[in-house]
Amino acid sequence: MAWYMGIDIGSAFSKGIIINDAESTHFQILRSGINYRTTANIIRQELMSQANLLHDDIVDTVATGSGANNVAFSSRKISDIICTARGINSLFPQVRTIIDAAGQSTKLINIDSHGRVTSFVVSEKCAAGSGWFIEVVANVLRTDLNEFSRLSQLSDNPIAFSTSCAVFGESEAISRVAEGIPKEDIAAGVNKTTANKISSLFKKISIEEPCAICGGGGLNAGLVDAIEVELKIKMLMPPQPQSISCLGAAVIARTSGS
Amino acid sequence: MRDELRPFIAARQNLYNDLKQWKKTSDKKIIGCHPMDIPEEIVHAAGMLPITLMGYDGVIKHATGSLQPTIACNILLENLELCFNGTLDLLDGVIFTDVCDTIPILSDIWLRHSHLALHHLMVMPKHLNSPSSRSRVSEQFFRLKASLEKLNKKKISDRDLKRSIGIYNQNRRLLKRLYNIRRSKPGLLGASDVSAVVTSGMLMWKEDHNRLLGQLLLKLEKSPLPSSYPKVRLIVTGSLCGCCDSALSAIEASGAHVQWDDLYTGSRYFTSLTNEDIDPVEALAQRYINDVPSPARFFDADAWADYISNMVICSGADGVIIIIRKFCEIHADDFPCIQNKLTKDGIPCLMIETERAGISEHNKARIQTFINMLERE
Repeated sequence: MAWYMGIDIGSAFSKGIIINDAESTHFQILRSGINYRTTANIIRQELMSQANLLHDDIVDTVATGSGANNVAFSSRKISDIICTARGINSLFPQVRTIIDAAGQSTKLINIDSHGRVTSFVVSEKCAAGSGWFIEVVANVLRTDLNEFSRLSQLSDNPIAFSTSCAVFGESEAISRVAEGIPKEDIAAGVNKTTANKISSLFKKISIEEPCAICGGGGLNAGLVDAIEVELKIKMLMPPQPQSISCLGAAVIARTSGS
Repeated sequence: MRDELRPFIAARQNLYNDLKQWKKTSDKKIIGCHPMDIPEEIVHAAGMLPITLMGYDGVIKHATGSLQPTIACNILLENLELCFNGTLDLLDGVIFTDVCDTIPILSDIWLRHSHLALHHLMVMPKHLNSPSSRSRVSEQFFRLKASLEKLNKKKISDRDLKRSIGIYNQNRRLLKRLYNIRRSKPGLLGASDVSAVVTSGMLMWKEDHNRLLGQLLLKLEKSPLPSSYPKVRLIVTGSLCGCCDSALSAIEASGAHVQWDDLYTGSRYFTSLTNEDIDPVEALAQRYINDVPSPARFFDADAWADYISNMVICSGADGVIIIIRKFCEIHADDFPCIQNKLTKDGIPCLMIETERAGISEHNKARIQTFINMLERE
C-alpha cells in the first residue's frame, strides 16, 4: 500500500501525518522546540512506529510551515496556506473560507471547490491576536489552554482588553488580576479581543460561507464561540484542528504521487 | 562564476575601510550621494568618486534621537547613523535630492552635525511635464556643478562631462546586457548576485566597474542555460533604496525566478541613456525628465502603473511582487493605483511591507503562498 507524509513545522508546534489511498491516517504532534530538524526527524520516527512502516513505504513527503526548510527528507516545501486549503477541502469540500488561528499568526483563506486558494490574508508582522497572545495570558492566569477555554465559557462579563499585543496584553492581564477581576472574565476578555482582531482582518478579504476554523485556536472553544458571535456565522470544526496543514501537505503528496 | 562575482561582492562588504585606505594614497575626493537620482556624471567629471549612501546593517544608536524612527524609513536612519558615528567623515561632501518630505529634514540635521566641505541639497520640480520643469532641472544641475567646481577650485569642462556621460552610458548598456542574460538564462545568476553587481557600481569608479562587468558578461554569455530553473517568473518593484538582498533571496528561496525588476538599485539605474550629442548639462536634465516613471521623481501614478504592466507583458513574467519599505510614503501612496491597474490587466500581484529586520516569517509565508498559487496556473 502506498503511504504519503505531510510534515508541518510551525513556530509553536510541529505536526506530522501519514495517509494512504484508503484514508487511513496516523498523526503526531510535538512542541517545535529550537531544533526543527531534530523535531521533524522525531515526528517521522514516531509516525513510522505508530503505523509499523519503514521509510521506504512512504512514496512522497511534502513539508510546510515556517520551519519547512528543516525537513531534509521531504521532496519539496509548500506554503502552509496552500496546504491548509487542501486539508480543509479534503474534509469539508463545501467550505469557501478558512480561519487558521495559529501560534504566531492568523490567516484567512478563500478557496474554491477544488481547495485552491483564491485569496488570502496573513495578520501583520507580529503575534498580536494570535495563539501566542492567548498562551501568554493563560500563563499569567496559571492555567493550561484547556482550562483557559473552559473558564472563558463560564464568564458573563468579559473584560475589555485595550490591546491584542502579547507583550502589552501580559501587563494588562497582570493589572486585571491585581484588581481582583475573576479569571473567567479575563479569559473571556482575551478570547473576545482575539476574535475582534481576527474579524478586523476580514476587511481585506470576503467571508464566503460555509466557513471553517483550524489551527491551535480551534481547540479553544471559548475563542470559537467569540468568533461566531463576532462574525455572526457558524464555524465548521475539523476533528483535529492542528493537523489540517500537514494533512493538506500529505494530500498534495498523494495527488502528485498517484 | 563565483570568482567573477567576487570583486562586486567585495566592493560592498568592506566599503568604508577600503575607501579609508584608498584615501591615504589618493588626492581624489569622495562625494556621498544620498538616494536617489543624483547626476553622478557631474561628480565624476569633477574627478571625484561618487558613492551612493546605502545605509548599513549595524545597530542604530544615535540617529533615532534626531530623526524619529516612526516617520523615517530605515535608509535615512542608517545613513544618519553613519554620519553621527563618524564613518562618513572620510567623505569630502554629500549631496541630497528632496525625493521625499523627510530628506530635507535629514539634510538639515546632517548639516548641524557634520562638517564636510560640501553639503548640497537639490530641490527638484515635482511636476515634470510642466513647460518650466526642464529649465528648473537644468538650473539645479548647474548649481550642483558650480558647487563641485568651487570645492575643487577647478572648472568642469563640457569635454570632461561628455566623457563621463559616455562612461556612464557604457555602464548602463553593460548592465542591460546583464539583465538580458538573467532573463534569457534563468537560474544562471541569483537575484542577489545581480543586485551585488548593480550596487557595487554605485560604490566604485565607473571605469573599473565597466572593466569588471565586461569580463563577467563574457563568461555569462558563454555559459549554457542551466538544466533546471524555477517555473515561476516574477517582476520585483518597490522602494528599496539600499541593498535588497534579503527580499530578493526570500523570493528565490520560495521557488521563483526574478525575471526583471523596477528598483532603484536595479533597472531604474540603467534603463535610460543620456544624449551624448547635446549640451551635457541639458542632456542630463533631459534624461532626468524623460527617465522611466518612478514615484521618486514623478507624481503620475498611472504612468508608473502602465510602465509596470508593460514590463510584465514584455518580459513574460507571471506576476509582480511590490516591496514597500515601512515609512516610504512616496511609494506607499502610489501602490493602490499599481494594484488596481495590474488587477485590471489580469496580472497577479502581491504587496509586502518590510522593515529594517529584513523579511519576516509572515512575509515569507505571503511570498511562498503567492508563488505556489502561480505555480498551479
